[in-house]
Amino acid sequence: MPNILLLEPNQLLGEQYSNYLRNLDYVVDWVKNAQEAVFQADKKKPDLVLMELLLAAHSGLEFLYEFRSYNEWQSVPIIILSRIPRAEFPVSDKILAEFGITKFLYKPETTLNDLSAKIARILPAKMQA
Amino acid sequence: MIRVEEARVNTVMARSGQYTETDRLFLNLAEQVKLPFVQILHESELLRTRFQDPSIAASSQLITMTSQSALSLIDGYLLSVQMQNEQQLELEPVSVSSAVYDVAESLDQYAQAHSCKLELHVAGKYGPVMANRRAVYVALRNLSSNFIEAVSAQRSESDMTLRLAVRKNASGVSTGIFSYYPLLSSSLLAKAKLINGMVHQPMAKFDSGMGSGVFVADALLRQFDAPLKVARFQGMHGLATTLLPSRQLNLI
Repeated sequence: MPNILLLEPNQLLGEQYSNYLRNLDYVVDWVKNAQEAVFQADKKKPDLVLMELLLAAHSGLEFLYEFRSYNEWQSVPIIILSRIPRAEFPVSDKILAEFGITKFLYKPETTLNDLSAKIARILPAKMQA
Repeated sequence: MIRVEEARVNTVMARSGQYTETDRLFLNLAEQVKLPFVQILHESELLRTRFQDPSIAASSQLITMTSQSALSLIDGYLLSVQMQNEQQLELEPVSVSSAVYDVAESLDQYAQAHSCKLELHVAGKYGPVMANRRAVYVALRNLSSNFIEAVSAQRSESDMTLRLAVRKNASGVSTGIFSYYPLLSSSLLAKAKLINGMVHQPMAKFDSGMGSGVFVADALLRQFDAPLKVARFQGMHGLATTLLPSRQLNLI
């Protein structure tokens, strides 16, 4: 089963996303901060990272820099699922592309169904590669 | 290494004037309030998927629509404060028809839940206007949802038709929402703008609540010199804005 690393600092949202995705037969490792995310990625080798940018202690950008600095994680697709709208995120499309961000989703406009559809579109292709 | 929130604040500050303390307090509050609504939205969606019971599905649908409406209002407020503080607006060619279609689609069920029927009138071709797509969409969505609530709060007829319309006029492309009931006059709207925030019902003859959707929409549209005005359309009464055409694009 595809393994998803979920980086979500909010307890309630983290539970909602992980329970929903587990019901769809994904293996979900939910962590709340960047450090745990790096540790978990090293242990579980995720097929996809789903993450909020606004984290406690470290920023999502710091995590992205660190995550992409390792060779084995450079092709892992990343979906940003944030409470910041894309228009307000102070990073250009070019930098997002350099980070290999596959999708940028705005939480208030993303239903769980939308989210699972986006993940399903990315993961089957990834699993066959 | 720059933190996202710091970078965001720096970006906003660099391109804008200083926010007042009250602005900052309310911006912060509005951002904070978004999260519980997102949680409610997801929980409601989960309920629908877990239980096949039609009554649960109907309740969950209502919770979803109400939360979406609240989130849209919060987003509209945030956007209006940010735009008011920007020294230079990021304008782009915007298709009003496309924004109106999206609004109608997103509010169709909301209108039905309020016993209203939302119709579209987008006949003819309209060139693009110079505005900001997100702002136009958010403004029209908030205006329309407020209109739906206002009409629904006053009437109990089974068929309450509301029409989202786009048409050309001498100045540009006019768009707004209309009903068969004359709920607002120009003087009432002008007075409401003056007392907004000071009383519980600034438009008591129109809305049983604060009328925030109308004020948020007006604040956004004023950024393009296109304030909301009382208007008429095919025998209907409502509120509309006129957005200026993008002359540069019309030449192409």
